[in-house]
Amino acid sequence: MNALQTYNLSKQFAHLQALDNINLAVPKGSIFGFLGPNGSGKSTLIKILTGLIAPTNGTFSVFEKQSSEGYKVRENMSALVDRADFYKNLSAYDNLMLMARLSNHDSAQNIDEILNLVGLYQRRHDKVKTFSQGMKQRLGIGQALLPDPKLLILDEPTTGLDPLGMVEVRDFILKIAKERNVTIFLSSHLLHEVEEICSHVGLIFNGKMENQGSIETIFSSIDQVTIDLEIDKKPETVKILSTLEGIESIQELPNLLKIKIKYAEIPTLIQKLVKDDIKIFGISQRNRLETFFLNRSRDQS
Amino acid sequence: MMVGLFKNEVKKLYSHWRSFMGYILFLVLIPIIMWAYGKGADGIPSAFPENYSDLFLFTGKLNNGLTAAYFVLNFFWVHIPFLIALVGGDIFAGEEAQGTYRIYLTRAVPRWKIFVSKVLASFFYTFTIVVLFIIMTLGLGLIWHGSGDMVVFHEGMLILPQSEALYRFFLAYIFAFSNMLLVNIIALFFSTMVKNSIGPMVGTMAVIIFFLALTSLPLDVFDSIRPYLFTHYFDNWKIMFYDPIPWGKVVQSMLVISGHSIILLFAAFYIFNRKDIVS
Amino acid sequence: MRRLLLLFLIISFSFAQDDNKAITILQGINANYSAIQDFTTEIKVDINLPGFRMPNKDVKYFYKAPDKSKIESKGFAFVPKDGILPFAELVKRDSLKNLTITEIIGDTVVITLVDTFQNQEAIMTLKVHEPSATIIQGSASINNQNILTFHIHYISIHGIYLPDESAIDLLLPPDFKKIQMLGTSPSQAKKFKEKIKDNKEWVDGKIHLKFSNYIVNQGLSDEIFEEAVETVD
Repeated sequence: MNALQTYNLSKQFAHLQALDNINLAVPKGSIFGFLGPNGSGKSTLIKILTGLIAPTNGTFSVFEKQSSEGYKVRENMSALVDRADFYKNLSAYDNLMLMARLSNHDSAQNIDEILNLVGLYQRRHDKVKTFSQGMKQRLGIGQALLPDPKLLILDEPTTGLDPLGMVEVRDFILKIAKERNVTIFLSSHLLHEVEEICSHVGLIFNGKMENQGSIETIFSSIDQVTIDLEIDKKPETVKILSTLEGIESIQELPNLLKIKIKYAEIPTLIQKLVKDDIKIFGISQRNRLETFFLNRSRDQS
Repeated sequence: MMVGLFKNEVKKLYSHWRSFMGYILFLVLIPIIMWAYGKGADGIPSAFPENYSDLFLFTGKLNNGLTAAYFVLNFFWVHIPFLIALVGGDIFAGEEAQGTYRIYLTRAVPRWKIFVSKVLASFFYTFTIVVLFIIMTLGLGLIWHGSGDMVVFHEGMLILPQSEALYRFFLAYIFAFSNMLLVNIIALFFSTMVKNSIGPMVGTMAVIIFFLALTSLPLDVFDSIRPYLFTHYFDNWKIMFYDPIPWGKVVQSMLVISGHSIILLFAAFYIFNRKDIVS
Repeated sequence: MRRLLLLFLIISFSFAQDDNKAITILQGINANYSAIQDFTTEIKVDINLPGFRMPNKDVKYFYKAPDKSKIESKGFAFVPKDGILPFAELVKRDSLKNLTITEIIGDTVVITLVDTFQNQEAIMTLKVHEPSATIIQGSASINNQNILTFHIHYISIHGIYLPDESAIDLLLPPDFKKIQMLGTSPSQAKKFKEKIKDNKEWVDGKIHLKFSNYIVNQGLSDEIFEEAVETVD
């Protein structure tokens, strides 16, 4: 059973076809990364799933509850859509209490637990207007967890967070996915973040689903990668590399070589360089997902 | 669930300072007016020429708490709509402006329940404002200036006996409350259409001022449309003080006010229910 | 010449007799009033003035000679002074201007005189029932305009004649019509103003008093009148 399934979901805004026959399947228990450039329709899809927007055509289901059942389709689902905005004249506690009443999870214990989980228990009686954006994001994730959902939709959850905050949120997502057995549908611009935590990925371009599947499936379709090589003898290295198979291009930069190479040939390259007494000070691979994404973007344009 | 939703809306409503403006205004201004009334009102309505006071023996006073309450109601009924619009205009538009729809409407709660809870909270506010007004005018008036027969103006002067005054006030306040509910609904209607609270407030007052002008201007050309304007019935709370009470007119007024209210309420719901929250 | 002188003397004597008769009649009325030291009565007041409406009121009236009077009621009320003891001050006076008997019908005498009414010179007409020395009808005119007319029916209580029922007709100046504009809408007020613009007729108002439960000469305390002292005209 899929946690989320869409069937030819479309949305037309005046003169813009924002979504065009989207068929998406999010496996139960997965952390699904939803990627696409700006204006590709990610937010539109999320808003349809969360009931903020009505689709023009198509349907979807969440844990087999159909969208034709109206609001009931959201019974097992919760979301943080766009930036986390709250009732700023109310405290964090009061805001969560408001949200908790919407799902009959309005016990003080439940709210305290969530506040502890997102690290805001000490500030629970402070008005939200005194919070930083990062704190609001955490509170936003907290309100999304209140109804104990089976599917959690997060739209750019690390927006406004510092690097430490971003790491915390990523770890948090992994934790709740594992401990609470929650399926997570994550929309993000941060490709490295998606690659790090997601088990599945879907790509959307210009309102159309481009690709979707497990991360391994996606990566296996990535033939060529770009690696950065930091070595001592640059000219000799270039000579050696020119004899190897699978190398598409070599770009010389002041301190390193940027090499476009078939993914499968990387071990052969390293062995050859070591054998030819080339000192390798560093080797790094550009994010594969990023590579995939950029390749697809180029193909689209 | 509805109780919880209603509690939410009331909490949100009273988290804004503007929601208390009406209460503060009444708590401060009405006692001042009541005190001034006591200082300035004469014992006999000044419509009587002075000469005729030689012809008569008088007893009792007409400038009592009941007449004072009538006087203040006469003055304030045009101003209370502003206080209602101030709060009613923010109920929907404020959420959209704050961006809180994105957390509030994404729950497994049908929009009609959220709509009803917002409307009820707004009605609750209107009710409390009217109740406070009653306490400050009638209550304070009776405590400060006592009771007695009251003088009202209907095609001249009409003295109403004290025994009838209270139940007439009760009817008048119910009528005035229904008018204020309509003002509330107009503000709610505008509030569902826009993304900021100022528009509905200004829009509501503009509508009222415009239609009041058509109602009040002594120009025969507007005679045919006046019965269809809700402002034509705005001060019909006064007919509760006529003798006899023209029940036909009361029914007609209530039908027109209710008709306007129901149509606008359904229109507001239609807009809210089908609204795409895109930002 | 002697016949002319005789005729002059007869006519003068006749006039003198008339003046004396009028004075005697007024003295009779005064005697009736003077017999009253105090009284209380309950009055049902029914007022009917255009532009002014009041529910029928039950009023208690207190009087103590020579000039104290007061009313009490639940709520607001008023009664016309001339409907109770009409012209009580006037009949006390020794000299009255232009005092004449204008008509005699059986035992009813009509007396006219000139006096001040509402601070203006007015012609007062009194229709007096001689046997009971009571003013059964009266009126006051200023500049040929009738201002006030009353009819009173009396009952005798311990030999003192007091009103049983009074009907008072008030005539109010044309401007009084404007009171009917109070409480009307601006368009209605405008129409009404147009309607009365050229209408110079005086406004007719009626007041009816029904008296009952007289208590006469039982010794009313002055304290009753201390709060509000009114003079009886």
